[in-house]
Amino acid sequence: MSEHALPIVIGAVFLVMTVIEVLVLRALVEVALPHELLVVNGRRRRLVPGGRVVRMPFVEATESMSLEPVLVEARTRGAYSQGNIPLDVELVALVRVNPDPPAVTQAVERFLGQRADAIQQVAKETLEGHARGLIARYAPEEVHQERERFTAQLRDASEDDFAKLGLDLELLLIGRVSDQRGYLDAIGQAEIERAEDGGLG
Amino acid sequence: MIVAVIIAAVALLTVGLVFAIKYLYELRDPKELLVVAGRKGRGLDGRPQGYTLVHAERAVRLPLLERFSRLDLSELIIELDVPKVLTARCVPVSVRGVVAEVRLSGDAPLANLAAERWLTTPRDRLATIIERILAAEVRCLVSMLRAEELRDLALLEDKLVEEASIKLERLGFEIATLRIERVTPRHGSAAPPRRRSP
Repeated sequence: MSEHALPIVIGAVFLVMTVIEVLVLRALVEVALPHELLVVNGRRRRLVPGGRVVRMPFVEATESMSLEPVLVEARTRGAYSQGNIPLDVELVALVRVNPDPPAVTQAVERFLGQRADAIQQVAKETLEGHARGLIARYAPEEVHQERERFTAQLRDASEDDFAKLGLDLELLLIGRVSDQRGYLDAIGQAEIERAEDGGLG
Repeated sequence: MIVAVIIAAVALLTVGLVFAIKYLYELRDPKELLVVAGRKGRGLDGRPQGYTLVHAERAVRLPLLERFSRLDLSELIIELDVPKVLTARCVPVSVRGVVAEVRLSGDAPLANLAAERWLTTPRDRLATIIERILAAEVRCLVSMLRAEELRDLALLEDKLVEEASIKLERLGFEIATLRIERVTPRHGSAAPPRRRSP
């Protein structure tokens, strides 16, 4: 071998070693962004929200799950309120996988590998079901006027279900409240007439 | 021959060095926040967390062990009309021209809440979420007021900012500005409340 080839050989060895180091590090280290949950499966399941984990190559495998809140737009159609008046109530919610133990374990078992639609669908059905039960205890104008009380009770009622799913109800608001029978319109109309008579308006 | 090899090696090293520096140095734009995943930090409650927020102008990357992302802090302009909103006494009004500038907060603890939720969320999805929250907040606020109380738009704006901020801050957002153009009645009687000209 020519002595001139020596630097080339040293350079090539250095290059190969660097490539091997990169490959080994890639196989060993996994980094999750702050809004991701890393699920390390293999020996003992580990759940790491946002951060770095070292895994055993070939023995452990990682999957990631998003911790981004999911927008849920639910609506009860014709839910009977007090006085048998069917009410349409729109709900706006943000639901997120709860990254804290023990809830996170439930969420992983239920939703790992599924799209956000799955969370959206389950949360929608849960909220609509409980809202329907709650509306029965309210007069139509009460749902509209006492939104905070209604959402607080809806949170309480659905809390257990969301906890079982490992989900966190981050936001819950009531959108439009309406009825097909014109009940709320009639209350409004009476108020308009009263205001006109009394010179308010 | 050996001189040629040395020159080639030096040239290669220089090029490599330039690329390495470019790759290792991450520069921050004033309208964004660098989020370094894999670098241990401490949350406000003192608990260790697996990422760090970088407020400095630049940061050096540790290849393979850290992932860099950017949290876009520029304003999202949200414009919405909320039709058929009922007052406390069920009088229908329309709230028109609600324009808000909302952004992800760059200050802790809100920035942490933002990074743990919206790091890679597309801007249009963020805008939709904020729009839905603001529309529901408008309905909630108006449901507590009477028609005549809707005349003072400045007061209405203040109250809306106050109420919506409570919800949005929990998600890492902050409201920069919010204006309401007008509240119009949906019946023929009451005079439409309009913004007084300055």
